[in-house]
Amino acid sequence: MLSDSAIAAFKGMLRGQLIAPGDGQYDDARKVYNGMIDRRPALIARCVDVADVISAVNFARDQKLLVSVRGGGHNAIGLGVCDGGLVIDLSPMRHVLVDPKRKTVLVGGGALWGDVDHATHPFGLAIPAGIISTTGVGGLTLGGGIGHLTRQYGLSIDNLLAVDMVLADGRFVTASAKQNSDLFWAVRGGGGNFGVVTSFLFKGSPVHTNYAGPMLWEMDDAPEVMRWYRRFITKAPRDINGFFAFLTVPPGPPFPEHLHNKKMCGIVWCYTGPLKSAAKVFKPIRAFKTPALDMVGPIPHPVMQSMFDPLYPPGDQWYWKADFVHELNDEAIALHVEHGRRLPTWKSTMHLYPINGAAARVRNTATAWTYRDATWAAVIVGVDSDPGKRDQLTNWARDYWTALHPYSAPGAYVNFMMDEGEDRVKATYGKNYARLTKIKKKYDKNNLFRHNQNIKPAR
Amino acid sequence: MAGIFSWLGLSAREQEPDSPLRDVVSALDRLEPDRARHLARFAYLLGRVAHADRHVSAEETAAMERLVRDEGRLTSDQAVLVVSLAKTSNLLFGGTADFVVAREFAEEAAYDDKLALARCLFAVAATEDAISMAEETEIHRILNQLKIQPADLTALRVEHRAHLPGLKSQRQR
Repeated sequence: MLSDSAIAAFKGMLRGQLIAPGDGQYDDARKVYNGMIDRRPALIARCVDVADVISAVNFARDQKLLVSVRGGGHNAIGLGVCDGGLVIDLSPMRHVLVDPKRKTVLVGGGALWGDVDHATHPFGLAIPAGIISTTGVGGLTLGGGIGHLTRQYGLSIDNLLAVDMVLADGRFVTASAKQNSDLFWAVRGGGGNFGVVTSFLFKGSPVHTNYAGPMLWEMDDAPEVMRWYRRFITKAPRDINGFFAFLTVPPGPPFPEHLHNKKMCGIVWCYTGPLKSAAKVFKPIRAFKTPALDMVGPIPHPVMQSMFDPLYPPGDQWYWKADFVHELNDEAIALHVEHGRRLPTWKSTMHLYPINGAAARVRNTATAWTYRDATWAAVIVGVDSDPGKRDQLTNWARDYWTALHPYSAPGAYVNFMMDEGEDRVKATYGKNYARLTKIKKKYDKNNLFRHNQNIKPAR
Repeated sequence: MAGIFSWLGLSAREQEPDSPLRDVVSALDRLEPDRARHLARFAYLLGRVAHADRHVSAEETAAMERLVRDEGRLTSDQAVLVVSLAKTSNLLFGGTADFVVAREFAEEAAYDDKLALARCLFAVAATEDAISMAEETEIHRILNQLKIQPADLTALRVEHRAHLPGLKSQRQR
C-alpha cells in the first residue's frame, strides 16, 4: 500500500504531472490505443525529462510497484498501462532534433512517428517506421520496427545509432556500438525489458517523395494476386516495398462509391527510387493484372506514413494474432483467401509485411531481432469501434491464425503479439533468447521491467 | 572408434568390462564407425527435442527407442541403451555440443537423411499428443542448422498440425 507521504515526496521530485485515481485527468490518461484495454494504474507519472524518469524508476523499484512504460500507447495488448502499478508516461518527451549535416535524428522517448516525419521531411530524410503515424517511436523501435521502408532501409532498429536509457537501478546510460554494446544489442528487438529509453539517435535515409499507395483487386482474384506477389516481392528491387492485405474498402472518400464496403485484396506499395523511373518499375505490376483501384502515385513521405491514420483512430477494439512466415504455398494461399473473405468488420484486415530486403541483410544474431530469415511478418487484426463486437473480432482472428499457423514459424513479431506466454517469447527470440536472459540479469536482475513480452533474467 | 566413445562422453575407464555402459559401447562397436557416429548424432538430436521442455516422458523415450532401433537396425535392447546414453549426453553437454552435433550431422548426412531425422523429431515431440512450444522451438533450431528447405518444413508442420502448440487449446475452445 502506497503511503500518502511517499506519493507526496515522489510528486515533489517531478516536474511533470503525477496523476492518481480520482484526478479529473485519470480516465483519459489511462486510455491506450486499443479500446479493449481497461486497466487502472495506481499512479501515472507524466515525465517531462530524464530526471523525472529517474525519479519514477526509483520510486517504482523502492515501492515494489509494477511498471509500465508508455510512449504512443499503441502496443497490441496495451503494455503502456498496467493494473495497480506506475505508468511512466513519456508522452511529454516528444522532441525531435535533426542534424542535416550528419544526417542523424535525435528523438525523445515519447515522440510519435508523425513527429519524426514532420521534423525530418524538410531535410529530405526519413527513418523506417510503421504504417500509422500516431504510433510511438519507443515501442515500435524496441520491438524492431516493420513498415513501408523495411525492404529499402531495414527495420527501425537497423537505423538506430544509440539510445539513452534509465536502468532499473536508476542509472542513466548510453548504449551504442561502442558503449554498453551488450545492452545496445539487446534493445534492438528486445522490447522494453532492459530499461526506459529516454532518447533514440537514428541515422536518416534519403526519402522525400515516394511513388506509393494501395492497389486493389477483386477478392476472386486474390489467389492469383497472392501467387504473383509471393514471386514478385521475393525478387523485387530493393527500392520497392509492398505489403499484401485483405481489406474492406472504407465507406467514404477518397474511395469510389461503387467499391465502398467491398471486401478486396490489395498491395500497399512504397517505391522510394527516382520518380522518373517509377512508371517503368510499376509497368510489370500493372501489366500482371489491371487493378480494380489504383491509388499509386507520387506522395510525400509523411502523407504516406499517415495515410491510414483516419481509418484507425484511438479507442477502437483490436485483437491481434501474428506469425513469421517463410514461404507461402498454394495451400496456405487457399486458406488465406477462405478467411480473408470472412473479414468480420470493415476495419479488420490481414497484412503480410515483407522482411526480405534490407532487413534480411543483417544477421539473425547481429541484434536481438532473430527472424530475419523469414520472408514475411503476418498479422491478423480484428478491429472495430463497437465493443459489442469483441467476441466476433477475437474468434475470427483466432480461427484464421489457427488455420495458418502450421504454415508459419513458431515465433511472431513481438509488436504484433498478444499475451501468449513465456514459451512463445522464447520461440520468438530463438537462439538469441539465452543471451537476452543474461543481459537482462546484468541490467535488471529483479525484473522490474516485466510488463512486456518478458525476458526473464538468467538464473 | 575412439572418436565416437569420446564424443559420447565415455572415457577409457568407463569402457571397462564392468561399466554399465559396456553394452552400449558394445552395441555401437558392432557397427561401421561412420554408421555408429551417424546413429549417435541421430539419437543425440532426438534427445535434444525430447529434453526441450525439461522432461522426457516414458512415451517419448519409447518413441526414441523405436526410431533409433529402426534407423540403426539395432536390437530393441541396444536401442534402449543407445537412447539412454543419448539422453544422458544431452543433459551433460548441451550448449556447444548441441551446435557441434547438429553441424556434424548436417555435414555428413544426405538431404533425405536430414528429412528423415526431421520427421523423427516431430514424431518424438508429438508422442504426448501435444508438441510443446519449447520442443517446437528446438526442432526449428535443429532444422535451421540442417538447412531444411522451408517447403519441407512447412509440409512437416502441416502433417503435425493437430499437435502444434497453441492449436490444441484453440481446437478445444
